Amino acid sequence: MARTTYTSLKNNNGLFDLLIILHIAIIAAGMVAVWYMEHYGHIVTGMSNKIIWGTPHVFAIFLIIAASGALNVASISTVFSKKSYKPFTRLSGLLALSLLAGGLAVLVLDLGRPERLIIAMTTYNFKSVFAWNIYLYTGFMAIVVVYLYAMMVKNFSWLSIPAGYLAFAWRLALTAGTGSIFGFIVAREAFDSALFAPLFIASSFVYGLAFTIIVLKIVQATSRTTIVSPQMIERFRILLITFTATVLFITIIFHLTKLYASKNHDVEWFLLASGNIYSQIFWLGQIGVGILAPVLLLALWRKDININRLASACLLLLVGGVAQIYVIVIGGQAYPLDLFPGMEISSSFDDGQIASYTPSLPEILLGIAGISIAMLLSGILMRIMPFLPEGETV
Amino acid sequence: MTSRIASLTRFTILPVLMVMITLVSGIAHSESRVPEPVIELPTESEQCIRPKEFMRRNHMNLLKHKRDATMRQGIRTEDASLQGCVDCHAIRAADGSAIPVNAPGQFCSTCHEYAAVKLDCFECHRTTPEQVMNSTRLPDTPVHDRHLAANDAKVINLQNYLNEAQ
Amino acid sequence: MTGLPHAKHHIDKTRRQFLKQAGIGVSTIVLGSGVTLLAYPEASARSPDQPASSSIRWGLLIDVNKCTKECTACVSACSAENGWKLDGDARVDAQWIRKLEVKNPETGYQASFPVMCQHCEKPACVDVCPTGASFKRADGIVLVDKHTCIGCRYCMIACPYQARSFIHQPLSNQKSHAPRGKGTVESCTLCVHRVDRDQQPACVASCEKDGKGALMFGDLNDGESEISKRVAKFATRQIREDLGLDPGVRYQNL
Repeated sequence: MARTTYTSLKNNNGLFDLLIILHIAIIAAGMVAVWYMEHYGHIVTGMSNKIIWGTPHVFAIFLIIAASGALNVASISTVFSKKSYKPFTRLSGLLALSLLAGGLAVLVLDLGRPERLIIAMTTYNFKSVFAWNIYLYTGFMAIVVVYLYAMMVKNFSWLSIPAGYLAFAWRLALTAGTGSIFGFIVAREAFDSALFAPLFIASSFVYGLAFTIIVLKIVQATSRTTIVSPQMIERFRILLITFTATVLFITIIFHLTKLYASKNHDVEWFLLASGNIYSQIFWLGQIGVGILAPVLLLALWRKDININRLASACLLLLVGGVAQIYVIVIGGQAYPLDLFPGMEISSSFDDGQIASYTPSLPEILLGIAGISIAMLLSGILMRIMPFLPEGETV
Repeated sequence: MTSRIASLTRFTILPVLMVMITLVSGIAHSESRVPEPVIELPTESEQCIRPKEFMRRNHMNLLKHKRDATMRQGIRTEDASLQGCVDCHAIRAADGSAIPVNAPGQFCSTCHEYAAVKLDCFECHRTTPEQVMNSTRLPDTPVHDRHLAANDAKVINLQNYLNEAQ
Repeated sequence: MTGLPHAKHHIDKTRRQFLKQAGIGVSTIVLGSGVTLLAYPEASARSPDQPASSSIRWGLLIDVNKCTKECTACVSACSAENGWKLDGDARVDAQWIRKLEVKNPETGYQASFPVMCQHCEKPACVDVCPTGASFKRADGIVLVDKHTCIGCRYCMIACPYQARSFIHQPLSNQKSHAPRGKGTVESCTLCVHRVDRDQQPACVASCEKDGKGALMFGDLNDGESEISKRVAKFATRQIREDLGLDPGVRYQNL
C-alpha cells in the first residue's frame, strides 16, 4: 500500500469561512449566555433545586462521550492494526481533543463558581468519581497530544504504538468514569446501575464515529476532494449499524433489569410509559430518530451508500444521542426521591412531586456553543497543520 | 555576516532594550499614574489585631488559616475572625447605619481595587457588623481586650446554659 | 474494725476521728462535684480554641407523635437563625429544613415531621464532592466548606434526602454566623455555630419553647446523655436506613 501523505485542509470554496463565522457567532452568543448566568446566578436558567443539572450538562456529557469515541478510528488502526483506517488516525486524534475541549468548556462554565476552577484542579477528594474524571479528562488530553505528536513528527513514530494503546485504554476508563457519575448514585432510582459505564462506552462508539464522518463530509465538501473511498464508506456503514445495535442492546438490558424489580416499576413507568416529555423524547428521539431510522436507512442504502447518505444518517444518530443523554440526565432527576417507599409524601420543598424543567435560552446557547468550540478548534487546526490524508484512501 | 548581526539584534539587544524601556517608563509613571488608596480608619478602636505593615502583607494568610481552622475543626478563637474585621472596619454613615465594607471607597475595596485583586469573601460573608448576642464575643468590647474575651468564654457559656435551663 | 491490741486504744480514737473526718471530706468532695457535674453536664465542653472531637457524635431525635401538621416552629426558627427564607419559588428557594407530610395510601395513616440534613455517618454528599468541600466534621456534623465549593452540585444529586440547596442568586445581609452566597451549595449545619457555644440547634430550642417538644439534641456517643438513653429504650428508625448511610437524625414513632 502506498505511503500516505498528509496535508492541511484546503479551502476551495467559501464553505469553510462560512462555517468558521457561524461557529464564532455561536460561541460569542454562548459566552454572553455564560456571563448572564454567572452574573445573575442560576435563577435565570431553568435549573432548580430539583433539576440540578440541565441542558449544559446534557451537551457537555454528550460531547465528552463523543470525544472518547472519536478516538476509535485511531485506535482501530493503532491497536487493532487495521491498515485501512491509518490515514484517518491524525484527524481522529484531533477530533477527540477538540470535542473534549468543547465538552469540558461547557461543563466548567456552568459551575456555580467557575472562577474556582483552580481549586477544582488542585484540591481533590479521591473518593469522588468526579475527581477521578478530572484526571481522566486532562490525562486523556495529554496522552492524545503525545499520540498526535508521535504520529506527526519525524523520528517519533515508534512512540505512536505505546501512546495509541495507552490512549485506547485511557479512553475506555474515561467513558466508564463518565458513566459512573450516574451509575454510582444510589439515591436516585433512575441512576444506580453498573450498566451506565458500558452504555456510555457503546454510545461513545456511535457519537464519535458520527462526528468523524460528518467532519469528513464537510472536509470533502470544502476542499472539493475525495478522501473517503467507497470501501471506507462501506466499512463505516457496517460499523455504525453495529455500534448502534450495541447501544440498543444495552439500553434494552438496562430497562428490562430495572423493570424486573417491583420497586422500580414507578420510575420505569415514568420514563418509558407515562407519555410525559421524557418518554416522548425516549421513544421518538432516542429510539425513533436515533436508532431505528438511521439503522433502517443504512440497511436500505446497502447497495448505494455514499458520503452524503452516511453523513445524514450520522446527523440522525447525533440527534438521538442528545435525546438519550437528555432522558438520562434530566428525566433521571425529574423523578422524585423516594424517602418513604410505598408512601405518599409532600412538603414545601416539592417532595414527592415530579420536577418540571424547561430549558432556558442561556443554557441552550451554552450547550450548542460547546459543539461550536469543538468544530472551531478542529477546523482551525486542520487548516494550519497536516491532519488530513492526501488523495483518496483505500 | 549580516545574519549574525541580525540574530544578535533579535536575541540580545532587542530584549534588553525592551526590558529597559519598560522599567524606565514604570519608574517614571509610578508616582503619578494611579492615586494611592486613602483609607478611612475606624474611630472606636486604637489598633488592629496586628500591626499595619503585617496586615497589609499577611491579612489574607491570617484569614485563610483561620477559616480552615474554624470551618474544618470548629476552632473559633477571636483572633483573625472575618466578622471581627468587619465589626471594626465598617464605617458608620451619618444616620448610624453601617456601610458595607466592600462598597466602593470603603475599607476593603480601596486597597483591593488599587491592587486589582477581586474580593471573594463577601459573596458569602456579611459586610456589616451584626450585634451578636449570647456569643463568646462580647459586643462593644475594645479591640485590645478581645483576646481576653476568649478566656471568658467558659463563664459566658455557663451563664447561657443556666439561663436556658430555666 | 480490725482487732487491734489494747495498748493502741488511744491511737485508735484519733485514727477513727481522722478516718471519719477524711471520710466526710472525701464524700463531700465526691458528692459535691458529682452534683456540680450533674448541674452543668456540658461543663466539660470544649473551649473555642479546641478542635471538635471525634469522641462526640451529635444527633437529633424527633418524636413524630408530638409533631403536628400545623406547627412549623422549627422551620421558622431555622430560617430566622440562619438567614434563609421562602421567597415564593419552591423550585429555587433554599430550604434547610421542611415539614414533610407522609401518608400511607393503603392504611390512611398520616404523619408530619421535619426533615433536614441527616448528618450521616457515611454521607453520600461527602463521597461525591470533587474538591472535598462537602465534609464531615470530627463530631459528626456534615458541612459545606464554601471556600472550596465550586458549585458543581454533584452533592445535591447524590443526597438521598434532598437536603441540599443551591443558591441561585446574589445574596446580601447574611447572618454573620451563617455565611451563604451565590453559586455555592448549602444545607442544615445543625446550627454548628450554636453547638460550638454549647447551645442547642435553633430548631430544637424553638420546638422546646414554642413547639411541641418533639426535637431532642445530644451526643449519641455519650451513654449518659438524654438522647442516648432514649434511643436505647425506645424503637427509633432512620429515613432510608437501607442505604447504609447511618444518619445522625433518628425518628421515633415513625
